[in-house]
Amino acid sequence: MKKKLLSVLSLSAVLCIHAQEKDSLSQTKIEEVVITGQYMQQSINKSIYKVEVIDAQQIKNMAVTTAAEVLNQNLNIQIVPDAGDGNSSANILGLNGAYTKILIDNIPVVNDRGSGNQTDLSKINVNNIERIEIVKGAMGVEYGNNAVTGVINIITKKTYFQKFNANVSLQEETVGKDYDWFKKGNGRHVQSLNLGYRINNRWTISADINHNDFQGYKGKYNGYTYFSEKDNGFRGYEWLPKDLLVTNASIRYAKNNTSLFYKINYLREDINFYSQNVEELPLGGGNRTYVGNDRDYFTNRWIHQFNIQTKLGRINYLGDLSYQTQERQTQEYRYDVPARQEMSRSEKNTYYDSKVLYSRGMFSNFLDSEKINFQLGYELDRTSGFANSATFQSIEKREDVNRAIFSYANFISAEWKVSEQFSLRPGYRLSLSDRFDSQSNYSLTARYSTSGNSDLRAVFGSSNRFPTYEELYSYTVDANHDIRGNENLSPETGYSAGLFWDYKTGIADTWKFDISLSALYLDVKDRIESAIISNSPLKYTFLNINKYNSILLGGGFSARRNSFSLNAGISVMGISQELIAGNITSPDDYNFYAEANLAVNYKLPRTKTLFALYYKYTGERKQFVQEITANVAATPHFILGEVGSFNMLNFTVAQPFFNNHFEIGAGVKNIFNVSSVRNSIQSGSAHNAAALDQNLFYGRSYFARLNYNF
Amino acid sequence: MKKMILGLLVVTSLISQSCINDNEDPVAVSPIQGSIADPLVGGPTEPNQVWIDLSDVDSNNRPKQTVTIRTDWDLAFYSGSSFKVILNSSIMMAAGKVTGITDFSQVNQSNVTALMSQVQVANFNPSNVPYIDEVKGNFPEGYTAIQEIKLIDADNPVYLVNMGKEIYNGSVAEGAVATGGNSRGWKKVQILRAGEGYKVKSADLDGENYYEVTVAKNTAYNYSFVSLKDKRQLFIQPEKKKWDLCFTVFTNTIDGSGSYVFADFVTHNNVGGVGAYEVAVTSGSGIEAYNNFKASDIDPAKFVYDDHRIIGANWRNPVGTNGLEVYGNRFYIIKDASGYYFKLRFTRLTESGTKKRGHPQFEYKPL
Repeated sequence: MKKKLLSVLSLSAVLCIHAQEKDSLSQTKIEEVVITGQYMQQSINKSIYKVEVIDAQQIKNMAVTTAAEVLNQNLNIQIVPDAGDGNSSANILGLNGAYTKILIDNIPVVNDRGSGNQTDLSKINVNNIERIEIVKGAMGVEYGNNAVTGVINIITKKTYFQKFNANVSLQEETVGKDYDWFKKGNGRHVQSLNLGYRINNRWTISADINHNDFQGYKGKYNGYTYFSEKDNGFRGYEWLPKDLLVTNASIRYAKNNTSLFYKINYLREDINFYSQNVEELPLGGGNRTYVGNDRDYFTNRWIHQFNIQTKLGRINYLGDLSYQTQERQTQEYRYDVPARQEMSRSEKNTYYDSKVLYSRGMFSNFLDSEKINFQLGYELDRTSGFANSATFQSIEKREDVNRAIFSYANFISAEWKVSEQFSLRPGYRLSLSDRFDSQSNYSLTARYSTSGNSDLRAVFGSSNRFPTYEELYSYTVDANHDIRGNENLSPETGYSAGLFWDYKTGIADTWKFDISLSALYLDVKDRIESAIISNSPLKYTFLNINKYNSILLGGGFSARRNSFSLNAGISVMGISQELIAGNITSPDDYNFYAEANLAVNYKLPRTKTLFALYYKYTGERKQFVQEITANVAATPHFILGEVGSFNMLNFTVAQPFFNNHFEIGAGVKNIFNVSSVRNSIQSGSAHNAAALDQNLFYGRSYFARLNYNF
Repeated sequence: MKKMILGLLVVTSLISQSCINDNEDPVAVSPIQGSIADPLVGGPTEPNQVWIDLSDVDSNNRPKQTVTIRTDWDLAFYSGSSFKVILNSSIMMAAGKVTGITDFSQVNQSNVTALMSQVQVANFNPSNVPYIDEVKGNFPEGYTAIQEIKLIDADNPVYLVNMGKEIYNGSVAEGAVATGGNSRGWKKVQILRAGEGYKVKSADLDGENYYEVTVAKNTAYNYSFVSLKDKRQLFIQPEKKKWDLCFTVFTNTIDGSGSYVFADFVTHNNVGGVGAYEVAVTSGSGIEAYNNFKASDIDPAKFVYDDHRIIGANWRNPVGTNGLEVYGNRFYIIKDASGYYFKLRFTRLTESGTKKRGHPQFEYKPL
């Protein structure tokens, strides 16, 4: 309550102050450019793919702290946090993070299991982001495997208009009701500093540092100091405390048709796991205590990236070279809970270690023709991965996994401007790897300008998903169970076909309207799913058996006038999933659900006070799941599971001072106070039925932000 | 520029914040009454059966433990007036009656193949249950896979015996248990009466390793034990008045799922006259309730003698979503065969420090 009162007070204080000076910055209209799926950077309107863009201003207005929060506002994207290890991944078009490629500056980012997939979006800070580009649908020709549901491309800031830029920002946030400036276990504290310096017209250097200190959300648990002499299982956190530090430094050189860019990125993340159960420990002399077997997780990631854009004669060359490493370690320790003392701490133990050498190059403009353009590209990736045996569910002690995969791909596409209005782009990629059979991916894209204000795009693309470590190597075999990974799995194959139409009203300086409609069909075959391969004795393994189809229908509307803007979207998605258990195949009816979002921004003309409101509705979703029964030998039975509907609403007020150099912002996130969502479609493990709730959020929170711009 | 440096200072000072901990004052914990026992179950493969006599304590006040290897024995022959034979459930044995063939020598691999696929343990198949002994352990009354030995030799069929699993000999992941290793194969067994004792015939399915032995009843013990594999008779359990609890791997049943193998299982010596019941603590501290439990609180009507699984696997949860757990909200009252009462609660499931399973611990006190 005190916190609420405080925020209301500060808010009204902000509102009372009127800016003395007239805003001198005239808003220069910069044409929106995109890079995802393009030959070279180009205007979003000319893009042959339908690219959704979230720009820096939008991100700032949302007052979010990680890319995960930004994307949660997007339709058909849901960020799912994992309470076990504190990571979170993105579900796009109903499929999990293994199906989506996450790129930073157009290159895939290293993670535990290789690169580009199952990337933890909560590890990406937003403060140096220029824009986020999202393309939904399979993009195997441009981005290779595991781009089945699409690509999320995070573009960082590289260029500055002023000679010297400095930006300091502080954000203090409650976590649910918990907040304290100092005390451990309360709130979120974010600090960042961005520096940019344009040495001359050719050289620009920049650096930034961002610290995001999340103190955890207790939820149904009671923090790390809790123990009970009766019940176990209530210690710890629903969302684990984590401390994230990200720094970047970059240097850019540009001259005529050439630009060179080098960036180094370092990430350090500490996550603290506190065991929910405590162990009793007799101490002698009639004394006893309770011990928590706690664990710290450490992540250290380095990304070196070199990008070159140049012209070789008339040929455009766009090249990326990147070396990335990520090491993840755990350190176990025993904590005497009643005495509040650490008893012993073990050595740090590396459980994932990945090194990725990645390079991609694209040549285009061979003919220097307006009519026809070819793009020829190569991509090579050498990923060496180490996974400690403890990362797989297992009873017997297993061997560590240590493997290197080399993959090489060539892709070619042609862009043919049939007429001023109509262009076509067929594409093909051949991927070779020393681990899997060669893979072919295809694409065909067409764009037709029905008028100067309206475009129609038809997009077909394919992509495959490679099996994960878990699917290949997991091993739970004991007297009662036999569940094993399958090293002979082949990649899942997927394709999508989409139709996108948009219309923009003219150049009139009053109201501007955009309307868009889209339809996307996605088909994934040979899905990898755990299956019974023998009833007596009972054996499970992973097989390429299931099918997945989805249909997505969407509509978008935006209106803008002066300092008012409104963006609204609605989508209906139908998912048909065929599950096979024993000899029984589940119904493959389409189950439809709806999502809608709304973003409204308004700036008071006199005071420049910004009001921003973000809303998203996620409708109830149904899906067939196999009914869990104690008797595994019984005939499998499929029932309709449900994921409950929920509403997210965020509100931000921001007031600039001193000629926009200084800004105070405050607001409320998750106004409807959503925390867990009813979910009866999660799958359980060998021993435990799945929980019926899923923790997607941690309830309503309040924040205040200070921003200083040099 | 000055403002910049100021900004930098503010940022660096804030980065080092949040170091002040939560309320860090130590909290008192209820003390231990009585003594602590560490049954020598032997680690994560749980190789041992540990027979504990609560009333026979050493100088350190620790109860006497008799340790045997689980694979030491295969069949146990009841010493009382009835003629019952039980299987070693700690190594997942099972037995099925061979129908249609009465001649021991005629039974071979080819005529029991169909039966072999049924005489299985822990296969999530409810129809397997008749091939193991009644899990309540209420003998001699309870059902046994090998039917009571009849007076007339011709009434005693040949049995196909699944010899269960060896003790696992690989390394085991932290926090896990491996209760069974390689298969111990199959035997055919026929048991007849020999006066007041038993006559046992056993062999591999191909007739190899034939072993015949006469087992006499020794009434000081619940059972006489035989190893068909090692072809010998031996003592496993202490005398029937000299043990109260047994720590063992155990083949239990789960309703609807058939038989299921449990690690960390505890049975009480119901056949020898030991009774037990569980006290569930519904509110407040479990330890306090245990510490406050007095002789006058004992409810004699609650002691259970017809089911030896009162402690069973109920004292712990090794597969919860929160990891290993010893339940703090329950303790047990034991009445031994001489009529002495004990209260007993479990403290640990793993070895302190290494987190290895198969290191249970309990505290107990005579009442």
